[in-house]
Amino acid sequence: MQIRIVHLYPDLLNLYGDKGNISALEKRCIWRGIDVQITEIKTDGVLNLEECDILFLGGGGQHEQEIVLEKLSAQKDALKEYVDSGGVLLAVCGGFQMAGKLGLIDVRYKKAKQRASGNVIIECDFGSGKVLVSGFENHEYTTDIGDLKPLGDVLEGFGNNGMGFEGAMYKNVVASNLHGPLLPKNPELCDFIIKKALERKYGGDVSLASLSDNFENIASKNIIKAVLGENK
Amino acid sequence: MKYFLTVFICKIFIFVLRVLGKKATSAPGKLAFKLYPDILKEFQKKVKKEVIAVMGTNGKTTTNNILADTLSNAGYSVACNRLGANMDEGAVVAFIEKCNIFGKIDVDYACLETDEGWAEYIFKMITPDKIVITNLFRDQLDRYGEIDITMNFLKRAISLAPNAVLVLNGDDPLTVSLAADFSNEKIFYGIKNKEFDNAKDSGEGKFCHFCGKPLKYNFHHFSQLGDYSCWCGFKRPALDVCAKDVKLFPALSFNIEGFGIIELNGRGKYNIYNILAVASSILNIDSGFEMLKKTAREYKPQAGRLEKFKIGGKNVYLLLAKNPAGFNQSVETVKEDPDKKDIVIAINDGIGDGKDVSWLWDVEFEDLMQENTTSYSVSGSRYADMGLRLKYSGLSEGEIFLCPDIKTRLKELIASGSGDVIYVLVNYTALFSTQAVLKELGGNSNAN
Repeated sequence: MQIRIVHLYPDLLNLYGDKGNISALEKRCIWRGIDVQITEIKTDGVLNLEECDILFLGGGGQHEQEIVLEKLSAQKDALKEYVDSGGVLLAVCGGFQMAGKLGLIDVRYKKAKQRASGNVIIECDFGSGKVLVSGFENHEYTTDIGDLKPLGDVLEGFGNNGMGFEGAMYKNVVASNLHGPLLPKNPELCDFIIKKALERKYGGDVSLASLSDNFENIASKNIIKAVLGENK
Repeated sequence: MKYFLTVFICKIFIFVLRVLGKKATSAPGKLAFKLYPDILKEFQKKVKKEVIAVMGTNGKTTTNNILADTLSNAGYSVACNRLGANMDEGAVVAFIEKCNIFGKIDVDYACLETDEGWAEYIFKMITPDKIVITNLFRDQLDRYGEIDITMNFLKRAISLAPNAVLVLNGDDPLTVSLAADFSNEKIFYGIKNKEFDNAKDSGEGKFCHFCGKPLKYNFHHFSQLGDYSCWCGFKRPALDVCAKDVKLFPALSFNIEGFGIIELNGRGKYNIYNILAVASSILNIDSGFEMLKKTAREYKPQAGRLEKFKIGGKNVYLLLAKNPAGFNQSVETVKEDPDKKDIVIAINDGIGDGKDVSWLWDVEFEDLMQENTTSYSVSGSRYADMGLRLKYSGLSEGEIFLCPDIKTRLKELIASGSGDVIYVLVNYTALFSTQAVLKELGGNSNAN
């Protein structure tokens, strides 16, 4: 099996350790014997969605995001078709906003009165029971996700708009404001994305071999404990 | 009268704090402002030659201290916030330190390391005659947001000092574009040619500030620092002071064109820029360069700036870094050393560090995967995040020691580590606790 990961504009969107998300996807495939091909689409590069199993869109500075939006707008229709046909997209932080602005997911943004910045713990369900996902939010927007399913219920933090939800899911799109980076410390989410990509590509129900997630679990537990207190 | 009383009370306060073993770098300043809000204005009048503000993301403390030492060596009396207390209070304490108990002060130069976020506030009270900007990197995102915010802070501050000479890192397109709006006299410094390979970058600033297109580089030295140009005409300015013929190991040396060779009693590529910043700030001083040479020869690092401890026959180096650019430089410095080495990395998420540790993934820890590294250990409140980062750099879990208790681990490594030398990389709030542990373990520091 092979997974082709496409990292959008790593030279422009490089503010929040997003390389870690790519690294988590890559390593967790390799450790399971799944072949990985990573394509970085840089400023002058050309995006070919035919050769993509996981598309990653991260966040960056204001100026850099404007450049990216302009570039992606030219391929808006192809992107929309990719997403609507079940293409896997992980959109994090500024990427969440951009996915909305490009119309890939039906969400609306408003500038918030104040910046939401801090650790966030959410409760998610990726099909095998509830899991806690941790990350760090740092944004100045409220996000209205309409009828979309959120990524999780907020246990601590501001989330989309202070109403108890964080992120958005649409078909095989996972969108979230959380960095940290998001995937390394949340292996269940990372595996959920890999699984979706394999299922789309090869059909049927894929089950991933389990890995020793000792460090992942300690890191995740430590921050959850620090944020929620001892008894969680 | 108010002035004398304020100085008098603050002197006593500093004395008491010191007796109690405290650092006294900012509390007395707070008191001084309470007693006499205009005290910095008063001090400005007493400076005989220049007030020099040193700003920028990385290298402020080292640059400011080498500058102050050079001026002192040249025979001048210098007020300096040596310990890096770089907000308004730290600036006041720097002056109060130079006063006698009756408020009499004899100061030729004031060298004030100044926090970018506080500069505007401070410059309203004391206007610098020279402003040094070392570089602009991304720093503590959850404090200031993005680099654009820091640049706006600096612009507002510089506009308060229209007569100040700007001493600028010409290799940094961000610093150069920041200053483009100002008609102040400018001195640019930089590294003339490609001296070492560094394609590594921690992002930001690689776009032309004026037209938005990506900058073209003849070479990079760190992150966005290098020889750049843009189709719109923006490019690295002609360098007034420049370094060439760089040697990095075992000690840093280089030639400052037109002046001569500088040899540092220490290492670290980043010190080339720190020293160039100083050289550019003292062009108007007789024997300035000779005094800088002497200062570099006698250089003692600040706490955690490749600070060396000798413990049980082993050298232990302590390296502080606060952001990805700084940490990449620490990684480079460790990598340069051909000896067998044990590596310890301590990461905290205290207030002074930023609560967000995502930047760890922007540091090229992959570069530490060398054959002559004999062990990897992680510590600090976010030891597990750091451990995870190393795991994803290519180590197995069994190769990484998780050690929330750094003291026990350092003791083991000193007694029985297989490396000849130990490198301890820390972020801000992990610095002083780690330094204390190394001293407790019997280490003699070479730092100031």
